[in-house]
Amino acid sequence: MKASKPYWNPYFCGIGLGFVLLLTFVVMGRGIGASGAMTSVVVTGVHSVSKTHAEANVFYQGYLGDGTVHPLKDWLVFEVLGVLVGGLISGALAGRLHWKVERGPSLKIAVRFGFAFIGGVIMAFGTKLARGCTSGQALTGGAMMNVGSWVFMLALFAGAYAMAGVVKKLWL
Amino acid sequence: MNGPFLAYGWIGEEASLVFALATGLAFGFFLERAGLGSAQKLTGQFYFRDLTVFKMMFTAIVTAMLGVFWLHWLGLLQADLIYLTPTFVWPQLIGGLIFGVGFIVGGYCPGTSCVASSTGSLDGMWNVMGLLSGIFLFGELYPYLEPFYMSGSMGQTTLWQELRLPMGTSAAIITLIALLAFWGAELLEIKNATK
Amino acid sequence: MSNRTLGIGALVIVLATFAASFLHRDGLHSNPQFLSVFTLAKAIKNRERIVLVDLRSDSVYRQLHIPTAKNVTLSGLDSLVLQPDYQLIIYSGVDMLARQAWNSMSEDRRSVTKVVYGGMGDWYDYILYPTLPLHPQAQHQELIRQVKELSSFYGGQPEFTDQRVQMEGYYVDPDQSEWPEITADHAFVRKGC
Repeated sequence: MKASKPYWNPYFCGIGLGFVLLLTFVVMGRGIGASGAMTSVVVTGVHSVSKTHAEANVFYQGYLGDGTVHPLKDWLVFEVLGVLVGGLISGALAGRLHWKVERGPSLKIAVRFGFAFIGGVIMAFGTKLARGCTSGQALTGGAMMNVGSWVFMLALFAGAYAMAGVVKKLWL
Repeated sequence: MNGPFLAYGWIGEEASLVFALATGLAFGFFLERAGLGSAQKLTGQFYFRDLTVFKMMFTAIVTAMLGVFWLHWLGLLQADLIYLTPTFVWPQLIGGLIFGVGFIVGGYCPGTSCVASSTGSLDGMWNVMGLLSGIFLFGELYPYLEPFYMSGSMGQTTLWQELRLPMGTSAAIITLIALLAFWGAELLEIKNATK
Repeated sequence: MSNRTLGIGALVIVLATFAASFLHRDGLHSNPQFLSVFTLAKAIKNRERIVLVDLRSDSVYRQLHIPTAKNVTLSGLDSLVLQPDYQLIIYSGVDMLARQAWNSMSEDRRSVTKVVYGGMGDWYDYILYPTLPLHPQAQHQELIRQVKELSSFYGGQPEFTDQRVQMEGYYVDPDQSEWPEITADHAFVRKGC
């Protein structure tokens, strides 16, 4: 395997990210996010399959707006597109761009894929209930000292730590 | 200078989309730089092996938090114009717990799963698919979940408003706690590495 | 730069933050004294020494403005001459104009300026066309009488309702309030994450 460059000091990356977030506050008056963009994608999909079904559902309707603007022409969607590209660029520059499957040493690839999928489904419920994910709630809301965000963040860590022992085999 | 720019009309609607792209680029870049595109690194957190995630996340939060206070204090930013997601205690508490479970099972969070996918991580892509499916499932079940979803409303509020502290004092206290935690994290990593 | 340096730097910032917060809680950031539309209505009627300024655009001003208000835009506000013991009172609509005006005002000017809380919207809702209770509580009788009188003075028309109306607090000048919330909607920026 080609040797890749080492990761940067996490504190520096954190400061960098913090400044990006601060700039977003100053320019947009809002923070970043990720789950909202994914929801927009899902809603667009549902809408294209069945317009009536999408519009009848309060949850989807919230993302469709009044119909004057396409749901994908949204700040968060553009931002997440940027995230994809930014990650790609960083990975390319550091030689970390190659197909891979991260998993515990004793785990079969197929099992890993299954758990990745299930984890995603579970996480989706968590993120929608909480109205955000680590980017939107923990980072953005955390920086704003938002009560709900801190509740979410602490619960997140609690839930993950509680579950860690159970899923040890996935990672260790 | 008067921030936020969008509220004061200093930046247009279309331009804000370009800014979104640029922001995302920087965000994705830093995430990958720190190694958060790797599930092993992300979950190493919870086995006290690799506390990178914790360090990076809280450094970012504290940096932005102090930045907001200082810019507000200097009169350059109107912090009360920054959007706050409304607080709904119960769904956010339960949602957080569920999210944590999903996080350690899947190995990524929505943002990092995107970064992982774009650097070729196949399990990251499965995670993204799971997320999209889960959101769809949530949408379909929404009518049944709505009462719970809307419970525990506290409106848009902050820790310092609830505790009746000045914004700066609250930010400084949180930063102090974070610094102590970082110190602890460093010690913990050394201890576990030499095991 | 080592982690130790970062840590020390962070501690310095924390101390500075504590200091800033204790010494001067809001720093260079200050909120104006707000005036309720009720107080303003009485002030205009009693011909008090005030200069009332409407910051909105010409066309909106001509549609409806608070009586005796002059139409001055943000750029013209600086050059506005204010006589010695006159108060400057500014207002706008559901927008950022009053806030922007306050932000760019000099300290001298700020000391003689007050802002109408709620602007044109509140004038419309609470003076011109207020909703008043049909069966008011005893302590509100006098207040309601005054509102009715002001309403007709300015050519408005109160509406009466059986339901309970929130009379407490509104007609008192907001003391050290935060600016009223402006829910401006931006086309491509859906709230939330």
